[in-house]
Amino acid sequence: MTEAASPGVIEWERVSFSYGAVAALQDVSLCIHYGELAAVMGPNGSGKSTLIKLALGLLQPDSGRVRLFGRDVKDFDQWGRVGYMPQVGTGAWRDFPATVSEVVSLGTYNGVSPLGIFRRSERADVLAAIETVGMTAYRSRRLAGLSVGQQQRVLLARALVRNPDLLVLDEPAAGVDVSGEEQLYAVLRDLSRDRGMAIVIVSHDIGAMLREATTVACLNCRLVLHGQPHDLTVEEMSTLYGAPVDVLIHDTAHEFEGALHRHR
Amino acid sequence: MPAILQYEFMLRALAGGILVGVLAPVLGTFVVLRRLSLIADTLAHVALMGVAIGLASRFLPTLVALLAATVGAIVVEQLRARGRLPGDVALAVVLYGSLAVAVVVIGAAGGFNVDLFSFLFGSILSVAPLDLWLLAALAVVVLLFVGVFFVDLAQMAFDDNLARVSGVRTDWLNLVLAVLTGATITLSMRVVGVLLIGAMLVIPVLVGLRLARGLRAAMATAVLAGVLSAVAGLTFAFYGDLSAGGSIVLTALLLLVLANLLVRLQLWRRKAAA
Repeated sequence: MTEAASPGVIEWERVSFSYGAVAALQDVSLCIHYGELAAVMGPNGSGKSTLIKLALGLLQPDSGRVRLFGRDVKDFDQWGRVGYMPQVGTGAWRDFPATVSEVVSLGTYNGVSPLGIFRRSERADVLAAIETVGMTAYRSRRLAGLSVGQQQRVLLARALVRNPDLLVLDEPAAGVDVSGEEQLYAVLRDLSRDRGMAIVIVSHDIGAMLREATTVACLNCRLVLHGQPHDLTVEEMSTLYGAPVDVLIHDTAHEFEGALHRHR
Repeated sequence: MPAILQYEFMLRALAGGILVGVLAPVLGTFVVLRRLSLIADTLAHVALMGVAIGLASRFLPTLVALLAATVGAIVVEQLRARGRLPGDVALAVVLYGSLAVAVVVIGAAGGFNVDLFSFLFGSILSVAPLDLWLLAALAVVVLLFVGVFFVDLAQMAFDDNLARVSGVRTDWLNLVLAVLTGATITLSMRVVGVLLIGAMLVIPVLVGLRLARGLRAAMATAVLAGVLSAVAGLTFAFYGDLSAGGSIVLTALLLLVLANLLVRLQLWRRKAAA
């Protein structure tokens, strides 16, 4: 397990959570630090999304503690430091009339603003965030009319416009094409490396996560594995996913590249 | 001067209709976008229970209905927020429970009468000055609430979890929204009728969502459709001796059909040009 000297951005301390009689997480302890690009992986129902919801205060643990920037999440109020991008489902926001600029400008929320109804949505910071995700040409289009992949990019811009210290992404590349995926991870690499942003990604894309993440946490109700991607062994991954797994790793002096092939 | 404007009762009905035409779509925009349209129907039936109790006990039915709708809004929101029952099931339990109480009370009090019919279906003759003052006061509160918390409400309409992670106090905003929706439904009963007010929260909003680009524009278009439905509907009711509520809602439906045709026409033109 990697231990960094920097303070924890998110700390789960012996956290357990159940949905009724069904245990989702048991005794999980994990810490994410500044500058870390952490992947949370595991099979369906392994507790990945629950772990994230606990970190964001959307669920309260049955036992244990969750801290954000050193404060118990129950008392946390500096939400401007957190950017969150939920997974986009097919048909989401089908009726929502907002344009791309309007949706991204929602990310600038910083408390109740009595004149917010009159605020322009096409501000410089909003336009810059839209440009970062390559959606400038679509800024006046309705979100509902975009593809799932494009909606994902808009939601990323909405999270980025907050200029957060912590970015939490749920399946960010689902529905995104190959060039969009490369662009997405290039942005995330820069934010993590240059700005020291802590980034947590929940994903089923094992290949991309092993290639892009600096640390990997594998869940299956409990924290099964936690370390750097090249620490993971074929046996460990096979046990986690309950199926034979081959891991193909290319490690160079400059960057780590991993690819994982799963055989049924 | 047209005949419709020569009668005081009609002027009151028109003023009431315009206030409902503004109020219902403003709140309805957030109700529809959050897919909580059933809340409007549920609170309408809770208000009907209040009307029945008020009529049976001969104690200000509008006030009893307002109280019932407020308590109902709080109960419904708590059930929804705590997730003890699935959202639509929780609403159905409250809706049918209230309707059952209303039917029992109406039966015990000697059955339906003219007063009850005016609450059920709306009546241009029944809008009293007090109803207007209450509607106007509610309009001021609702417009101030939506104006001040527009961005917060927009966040919640977009995604409740995202709103919470952005720091929006979704718990009490949801509660206030539910209570104001209950009050709007109750005070709109005299104009549109308790059985049709849900339509005014939904149909003008659908017109706005079909035609406008942007949340503010959609809400403004919905208000325009709401006011137009109320004024035209009441005019049809006056000259055709029709039910006020039915005429208003049918006019709103006509606007929705026209909006859909307009959108299809635009699409067809765009395809033809391409």
